[in-house]
Amino acid sequence: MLGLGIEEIFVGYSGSATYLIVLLLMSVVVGFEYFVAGNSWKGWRVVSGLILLGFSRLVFLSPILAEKAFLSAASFPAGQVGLYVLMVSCLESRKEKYQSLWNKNMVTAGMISGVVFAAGSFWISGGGISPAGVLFLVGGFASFGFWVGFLGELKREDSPNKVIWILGMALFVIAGLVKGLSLAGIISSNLLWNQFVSLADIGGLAFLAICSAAGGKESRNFRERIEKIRAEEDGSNQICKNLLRLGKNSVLHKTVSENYQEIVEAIVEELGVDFVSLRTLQGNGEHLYIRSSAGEGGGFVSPETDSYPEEKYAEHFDDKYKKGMGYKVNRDILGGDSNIFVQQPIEWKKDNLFVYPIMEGTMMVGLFTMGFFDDTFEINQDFLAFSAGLTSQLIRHERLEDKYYRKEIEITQYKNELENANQLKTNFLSVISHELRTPLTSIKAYAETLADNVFSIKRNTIEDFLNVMSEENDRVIKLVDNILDYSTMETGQLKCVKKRCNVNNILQSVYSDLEDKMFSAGINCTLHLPKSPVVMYADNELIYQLTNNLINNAIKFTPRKGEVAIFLDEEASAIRIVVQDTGKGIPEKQLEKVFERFHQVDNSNTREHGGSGLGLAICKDIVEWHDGRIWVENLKGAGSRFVVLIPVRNITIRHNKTANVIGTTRFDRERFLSLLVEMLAGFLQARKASIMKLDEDENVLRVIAAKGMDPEFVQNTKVKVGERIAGRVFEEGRGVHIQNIEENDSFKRSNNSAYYGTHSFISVPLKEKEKVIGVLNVSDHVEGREFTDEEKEILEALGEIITAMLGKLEAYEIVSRNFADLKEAMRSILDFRESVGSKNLSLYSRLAVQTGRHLNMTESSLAALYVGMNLYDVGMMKVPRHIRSKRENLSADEWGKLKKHTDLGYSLLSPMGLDERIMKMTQSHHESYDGKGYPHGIKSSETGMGVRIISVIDSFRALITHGPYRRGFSLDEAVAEISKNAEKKFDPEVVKTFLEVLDELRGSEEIQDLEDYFYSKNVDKENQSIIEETEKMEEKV
Amino acid sequence: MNERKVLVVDDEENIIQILEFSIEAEGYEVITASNGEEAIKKARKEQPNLIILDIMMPKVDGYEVCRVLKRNPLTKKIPVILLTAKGREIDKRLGFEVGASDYIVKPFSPSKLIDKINEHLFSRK
Repeated sequence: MLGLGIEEIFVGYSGSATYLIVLLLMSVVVGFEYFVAGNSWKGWRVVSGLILLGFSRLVFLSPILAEKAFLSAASFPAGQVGLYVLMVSCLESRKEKYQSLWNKNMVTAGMISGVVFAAGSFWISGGGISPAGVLFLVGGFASFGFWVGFLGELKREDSPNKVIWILGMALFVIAGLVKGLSLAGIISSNLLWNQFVSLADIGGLAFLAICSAAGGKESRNFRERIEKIRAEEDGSNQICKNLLRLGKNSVLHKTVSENYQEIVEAIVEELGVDFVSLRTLQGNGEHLYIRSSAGEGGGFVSPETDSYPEEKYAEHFDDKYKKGMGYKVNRDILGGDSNIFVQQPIEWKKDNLFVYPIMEGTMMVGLFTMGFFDDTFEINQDFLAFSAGLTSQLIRHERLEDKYYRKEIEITQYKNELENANQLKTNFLSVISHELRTPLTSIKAYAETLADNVFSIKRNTIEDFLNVMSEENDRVIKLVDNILDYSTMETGQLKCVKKRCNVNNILQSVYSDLEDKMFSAGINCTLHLPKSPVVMYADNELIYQLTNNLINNAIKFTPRKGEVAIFLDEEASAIRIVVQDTGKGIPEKQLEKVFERFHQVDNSNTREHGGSGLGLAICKDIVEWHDGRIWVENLKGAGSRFVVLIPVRNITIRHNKTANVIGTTRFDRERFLSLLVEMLAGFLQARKASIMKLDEDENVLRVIAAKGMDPEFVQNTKVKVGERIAGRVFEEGRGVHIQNIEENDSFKRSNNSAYYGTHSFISVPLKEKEKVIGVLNVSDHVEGREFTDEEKEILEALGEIITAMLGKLEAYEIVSRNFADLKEAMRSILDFRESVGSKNLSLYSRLAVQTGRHLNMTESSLAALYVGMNLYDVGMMKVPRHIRSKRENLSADEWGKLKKHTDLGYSLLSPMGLDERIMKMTQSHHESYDGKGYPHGIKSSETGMGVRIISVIDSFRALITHGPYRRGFSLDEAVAEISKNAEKKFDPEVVKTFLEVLDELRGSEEIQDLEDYFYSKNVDKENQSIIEETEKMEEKV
Repeated sequence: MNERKVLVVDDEENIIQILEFSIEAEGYEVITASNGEEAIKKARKEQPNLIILDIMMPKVDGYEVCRVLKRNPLTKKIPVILLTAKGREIDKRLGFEVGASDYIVKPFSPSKLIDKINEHLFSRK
C-alpha cells in the first residue's frame, strides 16, 4: 500500500510537473523580488514554502525516508501547505497584473494534472477505475478549484462566500490529512476512511464550486458596475466638456451672474439635487452673498439670508468647508434655525444638506449649498469639483473685471478732460485768430492804401483813415489786454486786494464810462441804486472790471432800441448786482457754459459778436475770489439776467492757484504723469511701477514717472538701449515676465537688485503704432505674490492706452507752449509800441515806407517794411531796462547784453510765423554797410533794402530820443549825424533817399508834432531836471 | 468804365469803407452790403460785375451766400472773390467748391485785390 502510494503520488505529481515547474520558478523569482524589495517577511514565507515542498518531495522520492511512517505521514500535508504558501505568495505578488492570466493557466494546469492523476490511478489499479484514482482526479480539480476560489475571494474584502470557502478548504485539508495518514499506515486504509476522504473531497469541491460560481456572478456584477460607472463618467465628461465650452463662451459673451446661474442650473440637472445655491465671500470676506440659486422653488433661498455672516455660517455648517472639503450636514446642527436657508420649510431628514466650498488656492472664496429630500442621496463630487473650479475662475474674473472697469472709467475721465481742454484751446485759438485778424486786416488795408495814395489823397481822408487805424489798433490792444488779464488771473499772478469799497460809486463810474457806448449802440440803459451806499469788503478794481464786463456784454448782445437795466441791492448778508437786457437770451443748454473760458454761444461761420470769449470767465473768477456766486437766467419774453451775489463780510480769502481754475486748461505735467503711473500701479496691484521713455539724443531710456521708487535713483536712471531688462525689452519690442528675480540670470547680470528688490517683475514695451517709444515696468505685487501671465497681458493692453495719453500730453504741451510764446510775443510788441509811442511809431513807419517807395521797393516788400517797423525792436524789451535806457557809456558786459536784442527779438517773433523779410528786419537791423555791425558782422548789402532802411530810421529814432543821461538831438543834429555815418554804417543811397523824404515832410504837422514831442511836451519830469541842468551848464560855458 | 459795378460785402464797416475807397479810385462803381441777406438782394437787383464777399458774417455766412448766388441763373455768372480771415487750406477748398472764382486771405493787400478785380473784370470781356 505504501509503495503503491509512493508511486501513485510520484506519478501524480510528475503529471502535474508543468505547473509545478512554473510554480517553482515563479516562487524563486518572487522570493528574490521580495528580498530585493526589502520585504523579508514575505521572502522568508516563500523560502519556507520551498522548504516544506522540498521536504515532502524528498520523503516521497527517498525509499529510506519513506519507510519512516512518521515522515511519510507528515510529507503529504507539508507538501500541501508548501504549495499553498508558494501559490499565495506568487498570486499575491502578481495579483494586480497577472491575475486573469494566472487563473487561466492554473485552471489549464489543473485540468492536465487531473487527467494525468486519473491515468496514473488507472494504471496503478490495473486497468480498473480505483477509488483512489477517482479521489486523486477529484483532488486534482479540487485543489485548483480551491485556488481559483481563493483568488476570487482574496480580492473581495467583504465577500459573503468566506464561510463556504473556509468550509471547502477545511474539508480538503481533512481529506488530505486522512489520505496521508492512511498512506502512511497510521490508520488502516479501510473503505470507511476512503469513503470519508472522498466525501470530504466531494464536499470541498461542491463548496468551492459554489464559491467559484458565486465569484463568477460577483465578478459579472462587478463588471456591470464598472461599465455603469464608465458610462456615468462619459456622461459627466460630456457635461464637463459642455461646461467648459459654456465657460469659454460665457466669459466672453455673458455677464458673470448669467454664468453663475448656468452653473447652478447645471448642478441641479446633473446631480439631481433638489435645490442649490451659490454664495461668494464679499465685503472683506466677512459675508457670504447669495449670487444665484436653482432647483425647487427657485432654489429655496430666503431673502433674509441674501447676505449671511460667514462667521455664523461656519458655526452652523461646521467649518470644515474652509479646508476645501465637501460633506453632508446633519440638519440637527442647524438647530431651530434650520429653515433660514430656504423659503419654505421642508421635511428635514438626517443629512439633508451638502456643502461644497469654492477654493482659490487655499482660500475659500465661496460655496455651494445643496439640499435633497431623499436622505440616501449620493453626491458626485467630481462634478462639483469641476463646477467649483469654474466658479472660482469666474469669481476671479469678476474681481478683475470690476477693477478693470473702475480703472477704465478713470481713464475715460482723464481722456475726456484732456480732449475738452484741447478743444477749448483750439476754439480759443480760432476765435482769437479771427478777432486779431479783423482789426489787423483793417490796419493793413488802410495803411497800404494810405501809403499808395499818400500824395493824391485828401487831407480829410487821411484823417479818417488814421482814425480808423487808431481805433482798430485799440481793438487789438484791448483784446490782447483781455487775454493778458486772463492769463495773469489764471496763473494766480493777479492779487486780489480786498478793502472797504463803495459799490454805488463803482457802478456809477462804470455807467458813466460806458454811457457813450450805450448811446451810440442806441440802447437805453438804467441804473438803479439804493439810497444808502452799499459798502463791502472787496477789491475795488476787480469789482469795476466785473460790472464793466457784465454791462459791456449786455450792450453787445442787445439790439438797437433795446434796454439794459442794472440793479444793486443789499440783502441780509450779501450784495446783489443784477444786469438784465432785452437781447435774444441764451439757449437753455448754454446757460451753464457761458462762464467757461473761450466759450461763445455761436461757434460757426456766422459770428455776430466779436470778443475773445473770456469776459464772462473773468467775471466768474472775480466773483469766486470774493466767495460769491454768479449765474444767468433767461427772462420770460426776451433777454437774459445775470445775477451776482457776493457776501458782504470777508469770509476767507481763498487764494489758491488751482482753486481759481475752471476746467483743466491749467495743466500740470508732473501731476498728470504721477496720476498715470499711480493708475498703472493700481491696475496691476504693484508696489512699484515706472514709465520709461526713449531720450533720442542719448539713445537711452529715462524714467519719466515712477511710483514706489527712490526719487534720486529715478532721476539718475539711464538705461542704454539693449542693456538690462528694460533696454532689451525696448530693443526686442517684446515684454518679459520674470517670476523670480533672484533666480534669473539676466537680472543677476543687471546687478541692480537694490533697485528692484523684488521677486516678480513685468516689463513691456510701450508702442506707438509699431514703433517702440518706451517701456512700462511693474514689480512687487501688493499681496507679495508673483504676477501672472494674464497680468502681463493686461499691462500690454494698458501700454496702448498710456501711449495714447502720452501723445495727448505732448500735443497739449506743444499747444500751450506755442500759446505762451505767442502771448509773450504779443506782450513784447505792445511794450515796444508803448516805449516808442504809437503815434511816433506810425510816423516812423510812414517815413520808412515812403523811403522804400522812393527806392522802388515792391508793394509786398513795403507791406513787410510797414509791419517790420512796428515790431523790429521787440527784442529790446527783453534787455534789462537800465541797460537799454542808457545806450551809451556801457560796460563791455552791458554792451554784450544789449547786442543780444536782435537775436532775442528774432526768437520772440518766430512763433508768430511772420514773413521772412520781417524776421530779417528784426534780426539784422544792426548790421553795417561796411560789415562791422552785429550780430553776424555781415555787409548790410546782403540783408535787403527794408533792413537797411530800418537801420537808418532806428538810428534816427535813437538820436532824437531823450535818454535819462542825455538829451536827444535836434532834427538837424540828427540829420548831420546820419549823413556822417553814410558808407560806414548806412547804405548811402538809403541815407540820401531818407533825407529827401524827411525834407519833404519837414514842416508838416506830423514832423512838427514829433519835434514838439521831444522838445516840450512829454519829457519825463526826471529827465526834465537833467536837461535843465545840462542847459544851465551850457549857458555857463 | 462807369458801367462796371462791384458789390462789396463785409460786416466790418471799416473794411467796406477802405474797399470802397480803393475800388472807386480805380474808377469802378461800388455798392455795399453788410450781411448775407442784403448781399443776395443787392446782387439780384443791381446785377454787379463782381462781388467781393466776406465769409464770417452774422446770419447767413459767405459760403451760403455764394451757394445761393450760384444757384440763381440771374446771378450765376457774376464772379465772386472771397475775402476772409479763414486761411486754412480746407476753407479755401470749400470756397472754390461753392463756386468762388478767387480766394484772398485777410489781412490782404488792397493793391493786390485791385489787381485781381481788374483781372477778373477784363478777362470777362
